[in-house]
Amino acid sequence: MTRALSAVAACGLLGGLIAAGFLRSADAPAGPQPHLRRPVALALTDGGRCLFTANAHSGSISVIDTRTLRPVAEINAGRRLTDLIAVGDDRLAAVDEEAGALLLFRRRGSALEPVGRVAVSPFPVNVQVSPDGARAFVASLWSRRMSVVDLSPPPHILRTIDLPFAPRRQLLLPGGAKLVVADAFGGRLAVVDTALGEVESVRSLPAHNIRGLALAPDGNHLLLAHQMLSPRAASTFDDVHWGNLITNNVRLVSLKAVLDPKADLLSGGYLHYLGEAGRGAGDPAAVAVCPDGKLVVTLAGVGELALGPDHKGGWHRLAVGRGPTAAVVSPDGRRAYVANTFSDSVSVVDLKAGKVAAEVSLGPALAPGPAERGEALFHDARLSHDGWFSCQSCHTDGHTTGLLNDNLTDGSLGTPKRILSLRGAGDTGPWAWNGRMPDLESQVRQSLRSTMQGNKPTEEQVRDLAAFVRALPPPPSLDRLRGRVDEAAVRRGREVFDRQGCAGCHAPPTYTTPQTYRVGLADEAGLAAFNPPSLRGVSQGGPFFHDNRAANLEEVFTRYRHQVKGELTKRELDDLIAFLRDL
Amino acid sequence: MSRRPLLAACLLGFLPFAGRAAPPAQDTASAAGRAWAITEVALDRHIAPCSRQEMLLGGTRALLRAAEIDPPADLGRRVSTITTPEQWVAFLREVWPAVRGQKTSELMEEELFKGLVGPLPHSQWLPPLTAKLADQVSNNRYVGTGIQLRIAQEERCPQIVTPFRKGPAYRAGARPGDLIVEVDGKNTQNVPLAKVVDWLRGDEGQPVTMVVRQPKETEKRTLHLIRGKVPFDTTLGYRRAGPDSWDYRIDAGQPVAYVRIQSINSATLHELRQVEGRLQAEGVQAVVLDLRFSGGEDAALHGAELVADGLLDGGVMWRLRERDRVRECRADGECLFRGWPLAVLVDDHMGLPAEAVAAALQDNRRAVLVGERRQLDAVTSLFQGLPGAPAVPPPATEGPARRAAQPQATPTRDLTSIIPLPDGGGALSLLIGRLERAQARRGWPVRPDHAIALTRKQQEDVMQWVRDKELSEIPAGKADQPPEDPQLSKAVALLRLALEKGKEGPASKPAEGR
Repeated sequence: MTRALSAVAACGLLGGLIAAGFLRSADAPAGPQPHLRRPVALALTDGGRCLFTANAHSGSISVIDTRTLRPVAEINAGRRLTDLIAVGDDRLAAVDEEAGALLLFRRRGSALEPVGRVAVSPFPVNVQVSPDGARAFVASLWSRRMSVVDLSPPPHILRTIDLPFAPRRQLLLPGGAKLVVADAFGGRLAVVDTALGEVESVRSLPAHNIRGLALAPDGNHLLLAHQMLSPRAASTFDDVHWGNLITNNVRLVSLKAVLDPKADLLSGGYLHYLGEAGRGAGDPAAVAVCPDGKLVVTLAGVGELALGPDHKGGWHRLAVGRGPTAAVVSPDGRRAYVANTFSDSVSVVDLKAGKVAAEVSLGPALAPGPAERGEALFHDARLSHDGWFSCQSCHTDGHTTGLLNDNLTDGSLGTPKRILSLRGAGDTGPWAWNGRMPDLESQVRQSLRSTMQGNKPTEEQVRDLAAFVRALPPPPSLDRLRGRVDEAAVRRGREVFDRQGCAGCHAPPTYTTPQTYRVGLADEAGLAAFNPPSLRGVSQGGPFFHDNRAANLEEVFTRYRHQVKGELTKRELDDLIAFLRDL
Repeated sequence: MSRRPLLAACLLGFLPFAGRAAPPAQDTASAAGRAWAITEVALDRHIAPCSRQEMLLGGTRALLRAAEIDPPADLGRRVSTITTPEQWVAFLREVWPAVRGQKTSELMEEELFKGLVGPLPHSQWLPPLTAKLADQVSNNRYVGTGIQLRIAQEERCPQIVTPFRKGPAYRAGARPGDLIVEVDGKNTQNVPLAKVVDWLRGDEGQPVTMVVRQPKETEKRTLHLIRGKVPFDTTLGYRRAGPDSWDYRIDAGQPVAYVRIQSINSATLHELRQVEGRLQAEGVQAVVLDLRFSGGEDAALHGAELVADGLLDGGVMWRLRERDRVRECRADGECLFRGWPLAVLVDDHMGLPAEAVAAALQDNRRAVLVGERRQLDAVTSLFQGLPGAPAVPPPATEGPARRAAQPQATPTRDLTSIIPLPDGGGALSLLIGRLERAQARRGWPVRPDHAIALTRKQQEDVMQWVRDKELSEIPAGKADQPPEDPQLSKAVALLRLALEKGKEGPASKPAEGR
């Protein structure tokens, strides 16, 4: 009876907001609009009775009544939502990556009312809110910044903090004085003093693709879900089969060590290895903590959830939807909710039984196109042998972890090379470091078979993956995103670029050419003719060269004198770098 | 004298072969092509190769020897003029002897290939099947039925010593002691064991049927099985706790675990990670790694590299001196059993992978080594015994153990590697480098930090105990009772001391890392 009344009350409220033209209810007579949603974040409110999903593709927020396990509303919130968080019990904050904005909503029951919007640094991907609900911290991917927002009306930017890497996950530590920010591609962690607005320390973990960040049940450790790529293993069948090449991990890092810049970050920590021979656990993503201390880890690449560890260190795994990337645990610890990004659904997991109790569809979906199907395949570790990793594992977000990998793409093993960004790669053929791949489809086939050791893909899969890669834009210029372009320096730098004849190999507009060149480099097998990588978005790359020998662009020209004719003055060098960083 | 007249004169010298029944021209060309490929690989990868002509001469001599033909006096001079594949094909076509007696063309080819590699130090050609098996073993994906066989003297037929736990035969119901009376309908009585093994071998996914019975029983059982991968556990525990689980603690009251590394290959690091998860959950704080008579060939150095890296939190593992470069192998910062004291049991019979791991741990002060070294250089063979089974030579000394003289240290250790040849032409086992320890002055073989000898009886008992761990069942009449093992006892004592003293005392040094 109580449940029925609540539902009626919620519906009444929803009706009012729908009438205002804001909401589109799943229960409304016209029915929810069919579209691709791609949920990527979850927030539970109202004592666990109301679940919200942030949908990346549709820019909407879906509302699920957790008692009836039905979607009760869907709100057009923005263009591309990447994160969502509850602020106290009556507000929600979301970030819109495409609009570059933080969005604020007031919650009434399961309904939302927009109450604020503030522009933040471009490409926001994560939001944290201080315990008192007064401030929000927004991490922005390509602009490598954190925006600190005062949430009191009208919300406004307090300060912007430059970060030394592209961030994705953040975690505000208890008390709110420190914020941990994790690298979106590599393994760096930064600690930000929230009062001073300064980056306090930056350190590296042997990790990449950090997709989960949470506080461990003991309150003394950070939990990270990430992957590791072994520099000693190659993409042979055996190294893939035995999980030697890429591991999927949940790591505990001592909070004390995190906060002490002089401490050994690995000391006092522990690394869980997920997956086993025959059953990889590709692409761990979200990590959530149950009240009893057990962990809930989504395995985004294989469409599973791992629950554990048990008293023998084992993990119980169960199938959920496709691409589970976010998870929350109900306050009573009885349920976990999992956002299945590529199924447009939420799995409801009975934690005591260790079973999926229900899968809630977020509404009718449009049939995905080739690039959208390709995106799902790109994130699917089941394309690799035994599900150890996906394309996303190394080409995170279509970009790169910046690590070296030894695979056959260059025609030999024993010759590890930097993983290339796929962003903007659609029109920069031929492909591979040796330029031997004449078309993108051949490169996709080669990677799936020889690097990922997967089964032979269908031609449709190959076409879809290629379509997805072609749809990836180049990484944007960091300096331009930060508004720090010295136009005069860029102009002069372009002249240096031309004078030096850089365009002979790196010709605009793609800043590459379809040939290979001998530029005084050679790999371990004697390969000396390299396919020049595109320079678009080079400010988001590095280290440089096939073996990462140059730490930054400056080293490319000073230490390694890469095709430098004569001597470059300090100013010429600075101008050239300014030009390159603007591409 | 120009080369052309010399070649013509040489060809005339081989007129005795003209007119003999030779294999078709394309067969000879194929053999010549594969032989040339062997010389290419050897010249490219061997650390100190001889000349191509020396290899070609060795091959030709072997070929003629197999055909029972005396090589002519000018053979060396003629071969020395061959510099192109075309010349070699023409030469081989001319000299290829007619097949005689029981010898087949394939056997002649094999002699040629073996002969080619003969002049290269520490190298051999492996026929395709051997190469395939070697690859399967070093990567722990041996394909077969998964049984260990012997001949039952009384019944004069093959008997299953043990079916391996994860193999197809075990899953199909084979039991230790089963007599195999038929394989695919063929009676096995009085059939040589090698022949039966041949019948049982086959490709992955292929079916085979065995009829078996227990000795002194008449009831026969028919086992239908599909040949498949037989993954051997390369890490084992202290006592078996169930069909697929181990107790690792030596004493339930002490947080010290025993992990036996049976052999080192591509699977070992993965297994150690699984073990670590279990030990961590059980509150273990220190580990004994038993590497005594741990198998593994040079080719499995990759597995050793993974394991050493997995156990170290940084530092140089070793240096590999190859022909054109010195490759320093470094461990990354991630490691298993972080902060736990480690003790490693070593002996004379470890294969190179185990030896390399022990050296890396010692050189980086990650573990304390306990055991006995008497011989200069232990040699194990990949092709002796069954895959996965440790190569266990008999004890080296008679009677009570005595403190033997320390072996002479050598600065480097030869490293061979198995390199596959194209087009299924087998593989080459080549000397590709020399391994130098991180602390080069220590040399090889590794020496224990604590030398503890075993009596002959103790050594036999320990070996048997370790062998029994692999069996699917504990043999009848035996209890899973660990034998007296002073080396293990010493290691445990050192670890307990390290735990008690924290970071003080000699045994605790490993816990401090480098």
